[in-house]
Amino acid sequence: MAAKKEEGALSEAMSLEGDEWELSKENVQPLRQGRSISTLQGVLAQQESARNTTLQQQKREFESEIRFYTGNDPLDVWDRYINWTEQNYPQGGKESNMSTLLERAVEALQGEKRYYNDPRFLSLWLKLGHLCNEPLDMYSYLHNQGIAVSLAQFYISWAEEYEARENFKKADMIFQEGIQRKATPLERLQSQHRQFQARVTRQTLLVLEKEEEEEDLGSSVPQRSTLAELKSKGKKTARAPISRIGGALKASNQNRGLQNPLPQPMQSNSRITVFDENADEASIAELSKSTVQPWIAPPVSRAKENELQAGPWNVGRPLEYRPHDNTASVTAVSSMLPSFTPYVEETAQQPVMTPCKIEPSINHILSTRKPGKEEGDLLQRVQSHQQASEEKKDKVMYCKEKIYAGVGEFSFEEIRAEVFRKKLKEKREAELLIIAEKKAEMQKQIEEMEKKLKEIQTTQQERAGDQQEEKMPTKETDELHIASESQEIPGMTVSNSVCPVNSFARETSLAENIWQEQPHSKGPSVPFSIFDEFLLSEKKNISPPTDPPRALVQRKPLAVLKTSDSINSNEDVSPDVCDEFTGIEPLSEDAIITGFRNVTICPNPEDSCDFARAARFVSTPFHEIISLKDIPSDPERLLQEEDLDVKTSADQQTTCATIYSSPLSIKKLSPIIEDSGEATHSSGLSGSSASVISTSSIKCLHIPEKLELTNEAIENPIQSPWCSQYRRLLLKSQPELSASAEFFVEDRPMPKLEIEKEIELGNEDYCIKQEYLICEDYKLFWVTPRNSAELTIIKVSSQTVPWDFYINLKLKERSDEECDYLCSYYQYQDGCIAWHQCTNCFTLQDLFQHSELITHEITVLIVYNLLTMVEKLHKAEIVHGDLSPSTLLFRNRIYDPYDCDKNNQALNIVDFSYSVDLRAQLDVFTINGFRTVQILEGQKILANCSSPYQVDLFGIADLAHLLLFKEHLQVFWDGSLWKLSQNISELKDGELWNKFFVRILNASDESTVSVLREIAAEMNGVFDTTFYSHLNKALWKVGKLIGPGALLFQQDRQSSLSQVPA
Amino acid sequence: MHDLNTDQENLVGTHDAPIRCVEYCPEVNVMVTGSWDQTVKLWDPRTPCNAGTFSQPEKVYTLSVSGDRLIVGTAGRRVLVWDLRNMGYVQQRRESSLKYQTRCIRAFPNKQGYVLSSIEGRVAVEYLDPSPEVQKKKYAFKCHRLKENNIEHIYPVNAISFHNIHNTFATGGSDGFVNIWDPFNKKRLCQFHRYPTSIASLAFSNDGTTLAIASSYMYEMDDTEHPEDGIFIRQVTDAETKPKPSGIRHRCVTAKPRDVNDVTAVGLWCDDEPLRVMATHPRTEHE
Repeated sequence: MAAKKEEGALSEAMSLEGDEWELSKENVQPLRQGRSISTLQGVLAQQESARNTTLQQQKREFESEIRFYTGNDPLDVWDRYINWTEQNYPQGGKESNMSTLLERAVEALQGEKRYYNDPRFLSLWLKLGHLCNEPLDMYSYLHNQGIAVSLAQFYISWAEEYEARENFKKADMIFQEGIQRKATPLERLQSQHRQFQARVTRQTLLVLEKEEEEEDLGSSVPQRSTLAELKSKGKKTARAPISRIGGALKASNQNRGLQNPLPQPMQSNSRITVFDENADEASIAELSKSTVQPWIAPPVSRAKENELQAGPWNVGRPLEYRPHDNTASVTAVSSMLPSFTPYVEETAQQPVMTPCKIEPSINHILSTRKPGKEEGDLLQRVQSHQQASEEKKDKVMYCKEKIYAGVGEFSFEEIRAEVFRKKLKEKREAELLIIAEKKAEMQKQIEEMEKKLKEIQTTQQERAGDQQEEKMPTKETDELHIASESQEIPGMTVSNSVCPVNSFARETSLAENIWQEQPHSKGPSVPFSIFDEFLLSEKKNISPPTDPPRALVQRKPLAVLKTSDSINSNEDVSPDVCDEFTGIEPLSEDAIITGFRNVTICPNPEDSCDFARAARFVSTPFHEIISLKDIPSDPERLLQEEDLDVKTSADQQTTCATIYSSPLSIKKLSPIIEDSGEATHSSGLSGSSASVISTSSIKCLHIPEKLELTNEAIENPIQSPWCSQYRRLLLKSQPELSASAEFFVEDRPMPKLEIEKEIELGNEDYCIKQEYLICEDYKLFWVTPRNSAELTIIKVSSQTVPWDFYINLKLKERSDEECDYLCSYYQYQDGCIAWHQCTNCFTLQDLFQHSELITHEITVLIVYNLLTMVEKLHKAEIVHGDLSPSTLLFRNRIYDPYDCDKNNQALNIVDFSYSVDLRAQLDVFTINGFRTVQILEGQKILANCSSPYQVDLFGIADLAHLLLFKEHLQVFWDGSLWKLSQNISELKDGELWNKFFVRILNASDESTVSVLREIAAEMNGVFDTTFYSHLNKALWKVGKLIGPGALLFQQDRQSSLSQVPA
Repeated sequence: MHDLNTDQENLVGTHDAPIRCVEYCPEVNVMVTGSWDQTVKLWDPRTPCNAGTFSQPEKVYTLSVSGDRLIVGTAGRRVLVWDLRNMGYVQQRRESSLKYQTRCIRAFPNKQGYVLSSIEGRVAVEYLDPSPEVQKKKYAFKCHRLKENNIEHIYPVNAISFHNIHNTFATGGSDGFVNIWDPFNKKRLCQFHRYPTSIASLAFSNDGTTLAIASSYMYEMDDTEHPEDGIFIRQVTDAETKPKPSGIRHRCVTAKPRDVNDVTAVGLWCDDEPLRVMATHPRTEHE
């Protein structure tokens, strides 16, 4: 017997692994094919809850696989699912849902004719058959349907079923038919048939023998004797007494076959037999095995707990519990009701069960099995399934087959989520593929470029020689050209690769325009419109339906809400812009404004004119902006204009607003714009910070202006510490600088920096990927080394003085600390390139674009970093002077949420242009040259500033303020202290911030190093476990949006955009 | 969590699987989220943190808060009623009285029961009170079915929203129709014109004067061509939402004659409005 064999094998394994199996054998249903011991162990050993979650997860996987299977073998999924269920629910029972599972599988696959002779399909049916009350019906059904008729197993099982019912004739017929049909494998069928025949003959012989002996031997009722001896009986072959009754006989019968033929209980023929107790005793001694005698009455059950409680006699009792064969006689008995009524004493109550705690996992095994009401019609349901679908009179208007495909059910949303996930995965893979392709392509380009570069270099060197003689740089070389493919297009004003960044934009467009816009702005996702049905009716007489082809003419949208997807294709629109209404329908009649406007306002911070316009535009929604109308515009150009990237012309200081006037109809502005005014506030702010960064395609960088500025500075009679001439002198006085390993002087003009081109830095070639950030006097580029995809940053400035390098070097010298951050500097004739080793290439600026990411914890982390960083600088007697978001590069701490030890490694300073080395430059009298001071201009606190060091304190305070309130520092003097105009107490951990600001703003004459240290120590106290858990979550989010992963995506999009011809 | 005052978002916590529904219970001041990870989690909005995780027998599909009770609808047509003040045990475990998957559960504003809609065009009105006489009142009805060419098309009922004042409710189905029902008289009050696609969500304003209708394809027929999403704001009138008098709800008031000569007045009220008063004077008739 399979289970027995398995048991033996198991017990060996058990001794090594544990005894769960030994402890709960009774909870494991035997399986013909056996069980995987590891699964079984796992299932039995695990705790209820832990097991549930993993099982549920696996189950869910199967369920979704069933629904979204696209291959050509759906049976495989079902087969695996069912086998998995068998293995993982050793107890069987209700929770395994086996019968439903089988039923569904059979239903689902019934249409598939190709499975009809698949052994796996048959095994599904056979398993189903075991759960049926009348498996014979199933076999004949299968036979009729022609399912599995060429499989030997089918006939074998069918015959077994008949054999178990003592219908040997039928069983034989089945075998005969199978052999006739040449069912495969035929040999197996034949051997089974022979075994069957042998069994039958043996049995008939035994019956005959017994009939002869009967009188002498008497009979023993087939029942399992409790407390039976397990001692071996018999003299020659030691064998434990096996006595089986009822159903167990059926199962054991076929396997035993020849070796150990057990006589079947002849249940069908009831005869009266005479018992002889003495003879019986003798026979036990004689026979090695217990003989089974036909019995007339149901076995006297000793397992009393399984019996029904005694009830009143005269009430008709349910009869289901009785064996089928005997029902006839029993019904006859019970139908005769006694004529008297027994009275029940009040005290004679049913015994109350004493409450006992039962482990829930076993509970269902002990509870009595309720008579399955559906079980009987399991087969019928399967059979009727097909017919039902044909004669349906109603149609279900949802994909029912998907919802109820497996055992469980899925909701629409789940199905959709699953589809979405699948798509996402595919997209990821496709993206990776594209990236790989691109890399190969780029590699090709690089090789081509190299050739060209060499040519260029030789010509340039020649020219450089000439220039050095002249000592008068020509304008061409002065200009740092960073050209790109797009430059080749003359008069490039319209480019598809760039999209409008309308940070202030309230695109008040009318319904007509929405229709026009939609085909354009509609990305893969559909915009989402809001209709007001109530207003509709009122509106009708005022504005006629505008666009006949639309299906929804009657309902005009109040506004169209662009989904974030379509907006995201605009490169650096901050997420809050996405929620803006892009089109609003006129509503009120009293506000009469002629013409409608669609104003795109350039988010250029320098252009105060634009800002004023935007502000006015936003704050006075009902006010007509006449001034804007001065600029003529062509309505036909509307779509193109929208595409116009205002930043394409970085130097363009003129108006960036484009006005569109529609002569079509008289329109008014909706009051909705007032509501959305709030959003303008936030979006405007983030927009202004966003505008500094441009990730769009490459434009010319006009450095000459900058050079002029420095020239002016030279003319300035007072030598400021920021003057390049002065710095150069200082550097010259320290010749040892150029000896540094990180410093390279290249005696040539700076190479041209073009996207997708290579530049040589030191001995390495780098490919420029993208222009990341343009600041006033330097630019940041993302570059990758030739042989890797790892992004790093280079900073390109037109400064001929390697000031960053100087400061960094001095810092290292004086702080005596091992610098864990690599940076190389390349000095050219007309500029300087600094290469930063960093694994992530984002600055604090990016964080401001995603203002929702700035949580309390992140703010604390950043401020803490600033404090430690500036403390280090000040210790080295260096004042930074320009602590602004764009100078602060993220470091690993930001992307490594669990690296708690490195709290001071979240930021790095990328630019030191405004820094002053106070040890070398003793003559700093004015603080006006510091960038921080320029930003905070007009603040009274600056008048109190006594030392240059304090400037950095304000810088930190300003950054913290920016992080907390998204605006620059605003302070006032309350008589004793400088305080923030903003209310801190509403912030999370307001007390901490209050202390921070009071301390940092009122440092006066104290040593800034000690002040910084003090505040940093205080902040450090905040870092506890709950803080870390919040921080980790926040950092995780940050990493997702502006981390290396996001970068990849952005980069990809970037390149795909730039491929579109302008 | 998004703070509207400070415009700040706050990550309160996470589920293991997508979150299907969110509710807020003002009585207990707790946020409730139900997820496909088979749990319901409570969140304290003041100190954003998890106030408890409660496992459900199946994936949570819908939630509704009724006073301090929480009604959870899960896959496998199960309905669980929890007491938000004592989440130690399930107050009631029920099975949906409908045959198919639960789409939406909404509690009556009067906190006596809930309405449950199923994926196959049926809505059940059930009561929370387990006593048999109350349970007897529960019923279900068919809706959102369209007959086309003699074939009845049965649509899922996706959304339910209650009118706070009248205790009537609107249902929205995948057929694009919105119906308003009077659960007390078992009558449909009105049906709006057909919307372009499935009704995904419905919400009455607090004062019950407007109804927001979200029409959005829910991929119930898989990824096919479908109209765009849209939100419709509709003003609703009392005529559309107030229960109508069910026929005539007669209320007879008879004044018992004190004296044989007294006039017997029989008043007939219809919904508290006197319809007519019949006065008879038996004696005078006889005399």
